[in-house]
Amino acid sequence: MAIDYGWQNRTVIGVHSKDEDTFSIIKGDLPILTKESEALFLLTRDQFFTISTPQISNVLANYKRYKSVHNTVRLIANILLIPGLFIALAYLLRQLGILDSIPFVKEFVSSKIADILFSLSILNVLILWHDYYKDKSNPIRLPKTEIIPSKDLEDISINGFKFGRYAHLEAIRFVNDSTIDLICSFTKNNLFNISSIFAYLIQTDECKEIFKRANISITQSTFVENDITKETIPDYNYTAIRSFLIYALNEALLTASSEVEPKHLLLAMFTIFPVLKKVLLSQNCSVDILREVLRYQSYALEKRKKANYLNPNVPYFRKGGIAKSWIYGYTFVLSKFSQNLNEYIAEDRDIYGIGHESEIDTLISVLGKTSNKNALFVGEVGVGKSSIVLGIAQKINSGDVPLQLKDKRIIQLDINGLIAYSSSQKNTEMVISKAMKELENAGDVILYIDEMQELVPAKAGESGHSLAGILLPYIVNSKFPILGSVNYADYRKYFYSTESFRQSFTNIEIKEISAVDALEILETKINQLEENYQVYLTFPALIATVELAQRYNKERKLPSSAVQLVESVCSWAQSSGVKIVTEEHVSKVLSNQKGISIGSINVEESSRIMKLEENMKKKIVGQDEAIISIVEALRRAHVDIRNPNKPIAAFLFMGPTGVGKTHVAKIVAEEYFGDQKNIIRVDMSEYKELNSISKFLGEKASGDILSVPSLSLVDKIKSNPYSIVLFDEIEKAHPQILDLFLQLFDEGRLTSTIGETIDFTHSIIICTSNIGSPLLLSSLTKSEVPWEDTKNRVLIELKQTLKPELFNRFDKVIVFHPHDLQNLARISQLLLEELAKRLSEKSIILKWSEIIPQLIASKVNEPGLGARPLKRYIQDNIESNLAKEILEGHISSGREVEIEESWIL
Amino acid sequence: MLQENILTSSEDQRVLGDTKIDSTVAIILFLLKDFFIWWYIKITLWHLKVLGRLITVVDDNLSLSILMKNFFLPWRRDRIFIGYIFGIGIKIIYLPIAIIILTLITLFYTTVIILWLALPISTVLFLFYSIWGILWQ
Repeated sequence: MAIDYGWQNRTVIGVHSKDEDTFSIIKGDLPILTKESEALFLLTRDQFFTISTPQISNVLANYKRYKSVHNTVRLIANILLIPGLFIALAYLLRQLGILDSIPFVKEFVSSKIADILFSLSILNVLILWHDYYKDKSNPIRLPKTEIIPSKDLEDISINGFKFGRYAHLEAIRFVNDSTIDLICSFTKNNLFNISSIFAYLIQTDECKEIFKRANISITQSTFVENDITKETIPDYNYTAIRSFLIYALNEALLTASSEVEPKHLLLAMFTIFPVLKKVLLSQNCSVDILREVLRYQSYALEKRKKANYLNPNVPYFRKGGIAKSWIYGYTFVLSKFSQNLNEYIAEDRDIYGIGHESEIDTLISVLGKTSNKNALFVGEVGVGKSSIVLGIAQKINSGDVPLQLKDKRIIQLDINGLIAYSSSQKNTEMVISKAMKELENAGDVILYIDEMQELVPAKAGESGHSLAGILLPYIVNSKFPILGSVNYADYRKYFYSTESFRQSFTNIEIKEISAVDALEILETKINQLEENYQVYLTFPALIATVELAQRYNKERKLPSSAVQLVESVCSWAQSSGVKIVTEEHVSKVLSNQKGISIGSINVEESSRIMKLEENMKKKIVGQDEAIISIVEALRRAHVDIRNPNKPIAAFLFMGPTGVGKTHVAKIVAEEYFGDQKNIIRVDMSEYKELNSISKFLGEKASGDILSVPSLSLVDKIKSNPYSIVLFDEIEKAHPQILDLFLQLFDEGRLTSTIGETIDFTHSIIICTSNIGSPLLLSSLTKSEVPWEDTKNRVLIELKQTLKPELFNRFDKVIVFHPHDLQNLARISQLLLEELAKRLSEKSIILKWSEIIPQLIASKVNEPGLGARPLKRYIQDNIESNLAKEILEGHISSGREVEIEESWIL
Repeated sequence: MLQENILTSSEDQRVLGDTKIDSTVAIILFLLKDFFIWWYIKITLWHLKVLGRLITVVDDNLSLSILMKNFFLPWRRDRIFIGYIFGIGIKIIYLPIAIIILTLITLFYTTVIILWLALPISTVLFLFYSIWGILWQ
């Protein structure tokens, strides 16, 4: 499940050819233009950037000279500052009369020469002032890149570029001094030496930090190993600098940087040269990851900027001032069990509500209404309902809200605090009544109740009334806005059925955020996590966290699932002494949590998977076709190339009873999921009636308190999604129940009767069927009919029974061979080996001759029963005799025992 | 996608611009121009923005506009006669003081801006005056 980083459609790079008078968009490989009559340009939603050859010539010809003139002026200014300071001091001393005793100094200070020196010094102060503050007071800032609407892109492809609608910006103005310095230093005799720039940049601390975050290593030795030479990264004519700067600008814009820095030039090189792309790929990295690192660095830099409230370039958070409280009512009682979220968030520089921008806009419009301003957030656990409220509080603080919301404060009700406080006051109704009166009177409060469903079971101590019941009239007739949050299940349980509740709130559905938004949230937590756990988080680890959390922690939603996983990984890393956290560590922690193998494959696991077929063949007799199909599916699952939105595999096993269908399922559970117990068995003959559909999907608890609730399929799969789900004899189920399998096979999920989603994407589905059993059994006796013909006839019979849409959704339909005498003998051998293993634990060595398994097979061979009677036969005839011998004292520890033919005959 | 340029008729829409290559003298002139543009345009505008921000901050900290908007509200929204009298009375006393503070701070910063504008000119004038003094002697 690759993350969509959203780089697409934010910028468009085009070529302008003066000779042909054409404009075209660049797609695919990025060209380096050296012809003066050709130039690149870059388009964003609102601006277009250009760079010309004369601008480059100007920079190359004059930058060094400009720098030296500038440095000389600065040096002179600094030197002249010294006499100025002395004269200023002397002026002061003269005014104080101290210089009267030193007449020649007084005379000099009073001369015009001193005045000239002093005024020159003042001018120098002004020059130095200008030098120091010119960049700080008017910092260069690249515009934020928004997504270009698809209709605009379509318009460009049909009607061409309408440059008049964009603001024209000179790209060169956004290139910082260090980048220009670098370009000038590595351009000699009109040749731009880009490979030397690369070699220089990879040694800088800034780039080393980027590589460390991306968990890659690029050093001088990389050049030799990856064929980085003058042929793969050649020198270019100086006119090519325009192209490099446009690509670097593109990287700066995409990574939300304020100017084009050397690191953007480096990133551009990775996007331009295939040889450098290969270097990244060889280390499991990509340009996407490097971009994400740079985007994070831009974010971290913004966050670090000191908040000087007098700096007009940073937003100012209005707090209301010393007399704000005069015009708003007291909330004495409410303050005992609530928290002011505006104050809580005021000092926090993290961004809240990431990925929920549209929901925040909807909420602002609801709160801006004149009536019914209440809103209820409905969404799964962990989707970020509370972060939306914090996001609104942040917007109120920054003043970025409509007039109706300005100066409002969001108060979060603490339900447990309310219960505790009211129990000390002995009268809950009175406490709530007072608090609500305060809220009505206050005039500036938005009440937020998190996990609103908790109000229903919470009881007022003395009267036993539910808190929800006491609060309901206030909520219905509220004179102040109320925000609440609830998950889907509780919404249906408590709110959907209460008309007055439903009417009082505008529902805002909170969806799970995208993976890239979750990644952004994790990025905001890097500093805090690294400080707390003393570890270093690499970006591949963060990306793996989001991807794996989305895939394997389906019981929680993003971002909560990813945040929990990253915290577990950091905690594990700290306790294991791991300093740099990589994606392997994330896979390892999740594998430990889930008890399955996830992500990167180590040598040991690889060999285990490769030997799966061999191991299974040792335990299963005569079903090689089934084994091969299953092993192939498991290998696909293990290397992560399967469709993650479907079950690992869906098989249909066909064959008469006793051929080993269930046995195969058990062996798969043991070999792949580690234990034969990881099998959920559903007898489909219990679902013959249509009304059993609710039982299939997890019946609600019955009112009978004496009945012991049995675990439904829903409960079992929820508690252990990494299982084999075995649906026995599916042909016996009602056709409408079988229709549910279509969704199950297609989307890997089912929806339970109470609306929960049951995830089957980590399960192997095995259905069994006895259809065509008589035909298969007859094949044993009719040796003249080829097996393929019998199999085809059975499949035709199956197609007549099952709907074609269901039949086609199985990954593989496997027809099991009925066991002949030879197979039964091999199975007998296996069962005897098992018995011998058990006896060896008691130090008894069991031996048997070659004829014994064959004798057993011939004794139990009864068409239609398969291998099933074998176990019973061995139990009755061999185990019983052994038990008798042990009890009589004929067999003791350390003795060898041979199975006698008489036991069988 | 390759297409004819239908936009070259407009001078502003040219992608390839032309800029003259400069000399050392031009660099010195550029430095001077840069200095004066910064001092008299960029930083002056920045000072005006700071003045605007200063007024906002003082207004916010003294709760001036919020009190004026809610001048007739009773004290702590206690809608009784005493509440109205006390609330309006306090504001009548407080608001003039706050306005005076705001005005003084604004005047102070405006003076700083004027001094800022006068500083290079007065220094240059002082320099010329001194040189003139020597020449006259």
